[in-house]
Amino acid sequence: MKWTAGKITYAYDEEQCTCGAALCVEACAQSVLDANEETDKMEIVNTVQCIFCKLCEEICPTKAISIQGALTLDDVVHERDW
Amino acid sequence: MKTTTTECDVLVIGSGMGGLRASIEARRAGLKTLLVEKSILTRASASIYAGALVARVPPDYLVKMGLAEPGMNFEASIEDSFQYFVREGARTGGSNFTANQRIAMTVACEMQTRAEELRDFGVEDIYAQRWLGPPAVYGTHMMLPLLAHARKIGVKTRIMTMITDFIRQDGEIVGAVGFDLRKKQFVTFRASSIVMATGSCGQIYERSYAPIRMTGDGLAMACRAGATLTDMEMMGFDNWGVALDGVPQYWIPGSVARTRGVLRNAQGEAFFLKYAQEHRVAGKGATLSLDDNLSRRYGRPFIELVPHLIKASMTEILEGRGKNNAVFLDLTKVPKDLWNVDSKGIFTQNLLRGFNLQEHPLPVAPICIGDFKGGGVRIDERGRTDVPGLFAAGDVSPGSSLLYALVTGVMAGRSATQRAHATAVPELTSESREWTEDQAAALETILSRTPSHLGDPGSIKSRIKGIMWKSAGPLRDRQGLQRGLEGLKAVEEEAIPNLSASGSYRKLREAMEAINMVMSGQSIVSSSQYRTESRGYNQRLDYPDRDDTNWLRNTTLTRAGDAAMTVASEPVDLVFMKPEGYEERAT
Repeated sequence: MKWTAGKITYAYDEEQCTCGAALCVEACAQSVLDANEETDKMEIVNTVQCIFCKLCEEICPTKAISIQGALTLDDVVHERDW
Repeated sequence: MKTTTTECDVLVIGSGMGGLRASIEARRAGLKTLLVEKSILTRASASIYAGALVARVPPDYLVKMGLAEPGMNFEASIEDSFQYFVREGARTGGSNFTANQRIAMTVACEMQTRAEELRDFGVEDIYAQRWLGPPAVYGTHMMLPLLAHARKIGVKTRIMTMITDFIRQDGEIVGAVGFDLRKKQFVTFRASSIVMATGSCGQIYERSYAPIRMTGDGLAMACRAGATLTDMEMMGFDNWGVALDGVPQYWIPGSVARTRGVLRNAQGEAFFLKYAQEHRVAGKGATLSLDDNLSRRYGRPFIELVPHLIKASMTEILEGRGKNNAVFLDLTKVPKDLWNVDSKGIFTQNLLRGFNLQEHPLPVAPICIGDFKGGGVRIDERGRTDVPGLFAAGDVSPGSSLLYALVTGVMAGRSATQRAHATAVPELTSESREWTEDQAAALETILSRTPSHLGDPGSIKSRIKGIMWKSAGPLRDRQGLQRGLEGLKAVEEEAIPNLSASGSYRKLREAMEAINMVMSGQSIVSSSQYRTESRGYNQRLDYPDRDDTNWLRNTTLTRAGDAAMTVASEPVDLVFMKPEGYEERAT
């Protein structure tokens, strides 16, 4: 599953979601993720609240989710003069 | 049903700064220390959202934006820091002179030592200012080394375990009950001392920037165990929450956007200009020019303008001059380069998911920010609550800031250690054992109850958040607060008895959070109703002025047994500093 929001691209591979501990759900401070009680897999329930902290990506032991791309300082700042 | 019992000298609940620091303090005194966390370590805490203790010196860009706060840096003298804490309030509890001055003084005296000490625990740059990127990783440079150190010296940790209540025996706290989400079992802990570092209840509002697990569990548990809550009406708000469909309720931090932008209502009027003139907000030398930053525009430090900005924005929204419950932050005239000068601007732009600030004004509205609040479980300057055996650190007690959590963490940890050295781990009486079994049975009931729409924990939580935002949000009045109390009572009587976790321990955690939220909500609403003045974050429309003659007082909330909460107040002990022009009232 792949989708974009602004300049950010998300990819989630449900078949690779196998740790069964829903660590990503706990890591998310924004309620974007939830755990499916029956399959023990992660579900993305509320993308609106995602703040691109990438903690889910960082904590996932099986690399089932990846988040890429964002504006950088160089994209938007030409001078830093007051 | 399966229940396991664990015994330790010091039980610490919560793994933010307060909890980690307290557990290190107890463990290095040689005690058997257990740290329990309802999510995964450090992740449910507000500390991970905090980018710095305080600055060594105010950063240049803050000074230039008029955001630097005197007294709030490590170069400041003890008296400057202390005065700042008492005047501003929220960082060490209370608000505008209602802080416990002994705690404020302790923090002022200890802050430098305790911060420097963090180096011993592996924190490399204690003066780092980490305000780049997403807030959920701001605090990692401090929290992860601390956690690693705690583990290294032998603090035992238990994750995904939610404590639901304290065991009280002969007027003292001797243990706690709860459940383990992973092992799917009920748990009982026995300990000589318990340190609660469970955080605040920022999630109680519909519009909130607090981490999702901040549901006031500790506040409710302490209240049920007979501890006193104080100044609960002082829940913090800020004016700069993004209110745009399709993007997060994101709080715009101290970027140029806040200080250079112009607040407008739906008709395009710069309403704060009018408000400032009507309410005499503008100070000496105010330019009232929309091209200047806020401090220069209104001739006052930014921090003093915040309550007025919130009040003005909320008034526009309530009186129908906003749009979709928001007003507009006009940044179209602010040069793009300036807007991104401190990098937080870029991060916000990412979050805006393509929304163009150069072309459209950004909808903003006041938002509850977990990091500012002045109320909580009453403690003394040694971290002790009113109940023997129970200690509190960090946001669950009055005050909130990483610095406050650090210092109170040390204090509570040390007091807990002192008690644990003197007191053996108590045996549970048969009465207590029966009580814990009842608690486990109550959890089992919620777990096995047939699911219903009314009893769904998620919908109950949203209902509470809605009620709280409408009745005890940034602007309050008598009728609204009364409706709030009635609404919460209805939730308590109709919905809570139907709570159902549909067999899921994750949902059981949600359910218990909902119960705790009702209680925290009631405490906020009734304290706010009781304080008939406007001070700090308790802005009452029916009592718009600060009243130092009658209200240099702390509100207190207590609950005996299963009875309703009683609100009262007591005078602030102005032991070190009095407000200017204050005269003691004849009693």
